[in-house]
Amino acid sequence: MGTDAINATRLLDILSTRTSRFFLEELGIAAEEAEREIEDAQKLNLRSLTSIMGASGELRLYLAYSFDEPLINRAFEAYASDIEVAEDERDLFVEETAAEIINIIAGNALADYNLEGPVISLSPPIIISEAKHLMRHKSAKFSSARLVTEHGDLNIHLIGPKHLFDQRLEYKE
Amino acid sequence: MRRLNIMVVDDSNITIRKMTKMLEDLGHHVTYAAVNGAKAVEEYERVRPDLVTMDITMPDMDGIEATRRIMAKDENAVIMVVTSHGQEQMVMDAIEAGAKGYVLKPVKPEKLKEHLEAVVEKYLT
Repeated sequence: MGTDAINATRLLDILSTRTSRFFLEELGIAAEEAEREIEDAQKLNLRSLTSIMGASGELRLYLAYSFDEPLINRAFEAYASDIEVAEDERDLFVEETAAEIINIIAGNALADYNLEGPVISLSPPIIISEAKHLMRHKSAKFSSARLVTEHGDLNIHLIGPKHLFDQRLEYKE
Repeated sequence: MRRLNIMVVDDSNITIRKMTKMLEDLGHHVTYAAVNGAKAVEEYERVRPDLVTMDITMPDMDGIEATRRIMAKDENAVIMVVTSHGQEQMVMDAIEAGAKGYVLKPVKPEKLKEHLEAVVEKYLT
């Protein structure tokens, strides 16, 4: 997964646990892991909205959270329940909700993953707002967990090594 | 606690809106919101807030560099960084750059109040 030192199973354990807790405590959405593939997934399905962060340091990979549309819409409604959002702001704020979710969860998960190790930094999140497939080739490794909720699914993807991809998860030439 | 004029710096509009709501519910006034570090640095002297809440992970200019540049303009600036738990090194870098405190995401009103009060008591009274 980008480096031999990375334990994809452990990282997904942490992200999955943190994500379920965040969804329940912050958004009131029950989310449960239903499926997992470690390093041998041949294809990743990016759902309608995907937020991506690049990790550097020990973790040279991309983290991606890919949401079904009803789920991210429900998450937005819960996250923004204490503020007013105009109709023409809604699409932007839905995307920013996806970005904040990965930002908060991944940032906190690193504290669990790398308790005493070297610094791991995260890039600002970017958003891909189209469903697409990402095929595995070259020396890429994909690991993935699928969480299910009553509003749709969320995939957590680990995509590496980082240097094979640009920020939008296109293979570099 | 007295009413503070606060600058909120974050690249997420939804986070700016949520932070503004929390701060105003606590009785403070958000005088300016900047969507990146460069804008915060550019506007700081004009706005002259009592306190700045500063996101760390931002494109173009991150919160650490923005903190450093604001401190260069005003050595008495009071900046509180906002970040996730896993980014302790960045918090330490921000403190080294001059930040006076930090609050961890997800930010909740009671937690924000507690951290604000600590910073205000130490630096703004």
